[in-house]
Amino acid sequence: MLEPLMYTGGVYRHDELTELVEDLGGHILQKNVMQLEVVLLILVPADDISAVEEKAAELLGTITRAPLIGTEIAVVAPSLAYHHMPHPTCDVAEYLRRNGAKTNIIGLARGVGRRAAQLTKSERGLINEHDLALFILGDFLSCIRDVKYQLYEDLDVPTIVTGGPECDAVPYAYAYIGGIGRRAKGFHRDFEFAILDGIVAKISKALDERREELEKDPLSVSPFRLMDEITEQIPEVGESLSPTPITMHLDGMRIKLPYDQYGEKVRNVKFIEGPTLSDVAEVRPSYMRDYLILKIKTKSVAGFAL
Amino acid sequence: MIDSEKVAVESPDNQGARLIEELTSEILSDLDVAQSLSNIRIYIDPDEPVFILYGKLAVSPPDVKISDVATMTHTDDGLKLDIKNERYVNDLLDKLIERYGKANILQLDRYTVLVATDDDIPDETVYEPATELRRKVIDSIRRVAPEGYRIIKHDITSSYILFIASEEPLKEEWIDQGRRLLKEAGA
Repeated sequence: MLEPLMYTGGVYRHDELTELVEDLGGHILQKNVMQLEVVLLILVPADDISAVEEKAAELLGTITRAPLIGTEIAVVAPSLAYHHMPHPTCDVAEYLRRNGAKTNIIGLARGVGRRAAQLTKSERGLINEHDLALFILGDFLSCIRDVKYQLYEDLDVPTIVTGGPECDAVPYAYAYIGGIGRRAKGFHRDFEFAILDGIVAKISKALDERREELEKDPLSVSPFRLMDEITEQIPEVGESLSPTPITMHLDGMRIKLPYDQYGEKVRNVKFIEGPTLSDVAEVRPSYMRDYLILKIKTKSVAGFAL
Repeated sequence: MIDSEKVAVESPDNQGARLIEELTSEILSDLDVAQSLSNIRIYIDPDEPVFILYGKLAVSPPDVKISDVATMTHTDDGLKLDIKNERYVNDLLDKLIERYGKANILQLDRYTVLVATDDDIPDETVYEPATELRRKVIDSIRRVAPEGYRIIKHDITSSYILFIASEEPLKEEWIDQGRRLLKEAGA
């Protein structure tokens, strides 16, 4: 069992920590260097956390648990106009990022109002590539409960909805969180942070359920092992300017390389046991730019597990 | 933050009304129009759908004229303007460029502008605070109104603004309701 952690500390000697994580059989998912500070998103075997914590203390860095590491979450707003930006959409997305998630803010083309509210095919495809969709809706319960579900009723991924009014549940959504709605100011007070923590808790729960579901029919290869193999065999991944050239999902990943040039190369990645990547995963073009999206086949589909 | 009593929201949805009231106060103070718009009454019904806003506009300061911004003296090089109030220099330069063309204007330093003319410049208005206020007020109201409500009718005078918006073609009854709101407020 790997535990998701975030390390924040100085650049000096941080490579000692990355080496330790690798030696322990963990993974480094993301490394952000900002001037003299470094933020590492890491996965460490649960039994060895104390070793990592000791090392972090020695380097005068801090280790915090970031439950959303290794997931990509779509934060969907009805539009990118000032009615929804920067508060609350960006604030919520940033808070999820601080809990380790990779978030993408998506503004819909026709998300506003009641009459025309709908998802386009490409928007649906793009949101379905994520692990979870978080919808940021407005202030009126009748809109949220009776109309706006049209935006997410057809999605394959679990959906969590936030809005202004308090309400127990809304149709088709995994959960509803009130107390946000439309705002013109940021999240500053304690009770506002409690709402954000509530969102993180609900998302973690939804993702844990998804993980449990995956365990019933496990993936044919661990996504993290696949990531390491791809990074090793396709060195161009490391040359990508994106902060996360490979963005992890629960059951696959997004690889930020052009599909036309690298689709075949990725499919031909070899495993030491014999099979190639196309035997254990499906590679297709992503709805995001010209990237690749990779979904790992389950053991029952692939017929074996590595 | 403005006095919450300054904003009164009416809606069939009580929770929504309270949230819109908070949002209105936040937006107005954020955009610096809290002091310029008072006695705000909002009626919002998302089921209709309609958004009506009435607000009383504060009296705005008088127009700024060229003589308020600079003093003019005739010199051998042309007309020399000494800037008294730097805040309106851009507006003044825009006005001069419009009248004399860019080639005939030379800004020597922060406080001195030369214009190639021997005549006096008529004392025109360079900045209208009332226009700026209206722009800011309308901007803030459009942020309060739901985004999907793109069919808008508004009536703005020097003393009040009435703003009616909807997603559907505006009905006569909503406009009448707006007028009623206006009458109740005593405008």
